Amino acid sequence: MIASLLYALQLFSLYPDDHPLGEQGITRLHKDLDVFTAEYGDLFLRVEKNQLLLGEEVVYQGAASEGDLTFALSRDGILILVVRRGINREEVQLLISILNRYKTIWDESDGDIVTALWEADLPHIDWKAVDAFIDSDIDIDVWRKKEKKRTPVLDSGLDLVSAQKPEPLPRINMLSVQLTPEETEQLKEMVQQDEERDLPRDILDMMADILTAQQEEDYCSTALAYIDKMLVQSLSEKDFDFAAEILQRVILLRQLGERRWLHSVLSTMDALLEKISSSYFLVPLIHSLGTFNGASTDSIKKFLSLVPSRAISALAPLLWTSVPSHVHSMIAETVVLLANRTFEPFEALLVSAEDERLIRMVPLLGKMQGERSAGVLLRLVKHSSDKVRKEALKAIIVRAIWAPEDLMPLMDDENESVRQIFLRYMQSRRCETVEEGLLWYLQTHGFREEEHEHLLECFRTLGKCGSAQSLGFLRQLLLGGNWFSRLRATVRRQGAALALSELGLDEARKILADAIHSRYPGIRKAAWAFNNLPAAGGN
Amino acid sequence: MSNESEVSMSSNPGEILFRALYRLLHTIRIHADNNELITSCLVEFRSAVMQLSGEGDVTILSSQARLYLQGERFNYQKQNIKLVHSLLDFFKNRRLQGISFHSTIKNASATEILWFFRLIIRSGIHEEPSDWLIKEVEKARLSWVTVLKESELKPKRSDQERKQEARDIYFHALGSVADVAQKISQQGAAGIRQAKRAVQAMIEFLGNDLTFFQGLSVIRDYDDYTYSHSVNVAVLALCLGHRIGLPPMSLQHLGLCGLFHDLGKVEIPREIITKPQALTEEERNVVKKHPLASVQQILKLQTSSELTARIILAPFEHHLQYDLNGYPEVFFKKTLSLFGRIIRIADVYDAITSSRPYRSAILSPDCALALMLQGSGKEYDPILIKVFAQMLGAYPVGTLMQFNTGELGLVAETGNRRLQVVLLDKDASGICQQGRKVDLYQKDPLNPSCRRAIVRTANPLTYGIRAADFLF
Repeated sequence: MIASLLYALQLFSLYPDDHPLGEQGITRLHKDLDVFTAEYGDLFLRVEKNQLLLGEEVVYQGAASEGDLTFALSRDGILILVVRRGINREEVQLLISILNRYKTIWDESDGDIVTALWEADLPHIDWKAVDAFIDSDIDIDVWRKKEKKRTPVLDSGLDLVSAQKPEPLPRINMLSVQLTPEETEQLKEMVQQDEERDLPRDILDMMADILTAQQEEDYCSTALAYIDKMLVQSLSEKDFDFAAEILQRVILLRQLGERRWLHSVLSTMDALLEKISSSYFLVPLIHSLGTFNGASTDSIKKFLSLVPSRAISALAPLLWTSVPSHVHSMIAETVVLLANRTFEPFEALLVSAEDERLIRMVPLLGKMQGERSAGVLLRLVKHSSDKVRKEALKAIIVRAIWAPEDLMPLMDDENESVRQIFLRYMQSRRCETVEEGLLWYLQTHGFREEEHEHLLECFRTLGKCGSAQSLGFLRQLLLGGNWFSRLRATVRRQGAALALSELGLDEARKILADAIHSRYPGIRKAAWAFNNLPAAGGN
Repeated sequence: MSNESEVSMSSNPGEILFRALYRLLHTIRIHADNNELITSCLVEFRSAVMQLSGEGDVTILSSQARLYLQGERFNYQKQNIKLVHSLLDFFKNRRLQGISFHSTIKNASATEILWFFRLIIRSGIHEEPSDWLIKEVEKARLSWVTVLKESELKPKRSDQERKQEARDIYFHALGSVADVAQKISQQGAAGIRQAKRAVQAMIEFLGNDLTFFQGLSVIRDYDDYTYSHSVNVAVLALCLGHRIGLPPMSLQHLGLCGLFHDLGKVEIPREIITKPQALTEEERNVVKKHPLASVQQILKLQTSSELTARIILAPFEHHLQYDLNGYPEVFFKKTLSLFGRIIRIADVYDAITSSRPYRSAILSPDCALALMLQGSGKEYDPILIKVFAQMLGAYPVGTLMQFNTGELGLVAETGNRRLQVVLLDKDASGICQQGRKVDLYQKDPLNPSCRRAIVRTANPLTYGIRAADFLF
């Protein structure tokens, strides 16, 4: 049985919890204890220096060195260890875990075998231990002697009646301190509630109070260090709700402390916020989210939404790494949110980003708000990369940024796709600026044959965004020209017909009617042709 | 007493029995014997006993704030804490050590069993409840049950042994708190193994002898006031915590709060602590920082973050009133923790009944308590202060009394309709000597005609009397 105990202890110390071999040791010990106690009753093991005795028989001879079972039991003052009949497996496991944990302790340990057994409160384990601490630094006798050395009371004239000044102090009415039934109930609830009290939040309040009321660096640093520890712990435990609360509190305290704290305290606080925003802190956190529970999404988002905006420089690069899609979209949302709060960190990233990364970042600008990000998009439509320009234009459309002056150059963009997207966007509303720009473009620009599609799209756009101002130009294009040219339905004539049909004005319809009834086949054909053109796409 | 959620199904036969007993004791108070609910509770109880007994006895014992079934400690969980405490209170109020149900209970009639339980309930109103109950059970010839009296199973230790043990525990605690304080001060870190051992020993002792234990706080060492004050606060807080039914682990944490609540005072210059005159504004501000300093010191303890979290709030809060006035100033905190409220009461009581260089008057324990009661609801939790007053009694241990007979006495033990006083005899040279112990509620057998009446009370320290020299 003792061999079984030592074997279980050895396996427990060698293997991690729940390892089959460790479990096997516990099971075997439990079985042996069952057999023993069934046959002989409770197991009483006496502990003498480095020995375990059963009755008078030495059943184990240990060594006088750290790590030995008997040494540890003696060190903690245990005289008798009793295992009662009926002990269950969980108790055996706990006992072994306690013996293993406190096999070796250091001077400033937070407990020993006795304190742990007391705390575990195992129903089938009893022990007797000496009160005095072996190897203790405390010399209890010194304290006793100090108490005893007092001179005995010598007061020859002790007479309360004469000595005591009249005391107008109240006396207790014991009836008044009886609890009412309601108070008795409240008391029970109070005790129950205390058992369930949310200590970390209470401690957070306390630390916040220390930081709010104090200006001394020492106390503030202590409080901040503890808050830092709580934050790290809550994140490691994936308690994002609490982590968010801590961060929220830190931000509030930073604001409150702005004018009160010493510079050094502010620096410590800023260092904490800096740490939270760093790649060192955030990247492992984000990577750990791969397996997070979907139900925690809101909590995680809440936490991430609170990190300082400079965290963008840590978070955004994760967008071009292989992270699960749900994590990717969470990072993207966070970056947008943080950039909306303070745009500079995102802008700095854009400036230094290579084209490929820029292409991935530009769509985020489409989800942002504010003039600064809009301004960046309008600058990016002039970027040398087709793809960047295209993404920037898409982002502009998503955000419905209407800045025709800035966008007009795209009408003649070298990339066909960009031109198309631009024109379709311009078709979305009537706009004098765009109309003027188009009129100028169509009047001054020459189009090659392969650009006919683009030319027609320009006319469609003119029709969709233009006004009566364009009628003259369009009438002239559709109906004008010398007799020879009127024989042919040129692309420009078709475009004019198309634009007129898109204008939707009575005057335009009248011009079209005139064209349909023209005696020149080229004009008639152009007027009819727009009907054969593919229907205009959406913007 | 009853709560449907409490009566949930359990597969543990012990728990089934305790729940059945709990329900029966509750139901029987409300309903007549022929009530259906009573019948079902009785069936449930009898079957629980039968399940456990086989052909033997089923013995329930209450000892050291724990329930035992068939000699084994009942290991209760958070969800049945109310059930266990309720049963423990029930046993304690009747001074019952336990009940043994014999296998013959299966032949007992329902009327007999119900009669027995009604007897137990009624025993609570009698002066010696367990004696009365035993007699009644004998009269009724209830052979299927045996009532066990408190004294039958517990060998009584002599007063001298109890005193010695109490003193040992006190000085262990004192030594451990001093050790922690010194190590933190010198090394910047300290373990709490010894403090834990001391607190655990205190809890075990108070479970056995609450009245005696609470008197320990009269031991004071003014060379090291802060340390002995810390131990006294731990003693008083543990008594109050025990009284309100805190489980052992919580008591351990509360005891540590008591020991460490003033750790921050170690950093205050001694000349300020011992200054006989009123403190200057600047000095007061230094003193007011000690709860923060205590927090700082506790963070230096080498222990788990869980334990730190459990013991750090009360030291911060112990100068905050129930209404959150006091110091340190708080903005975020909305309520004080239970430990904070307990430690505050214990702290103030010990402080105002102690002799301090800057204080001319030392309140007698009874006056101190009365004064504190005036702050109920504002300075102190109104329920806890009541329980504290009940616990200490109208004349707390250590109160110096003068009687109409001209004698002086020190209150040595209170509670359970007792007020034990150690008489102080003056010898020829005027030195106070420890005299007889008398119970003020009983006639003095040596002088039956003498019935002492209290004329005045005072704090013994006012007269240079150290109560501990006479009581421990």
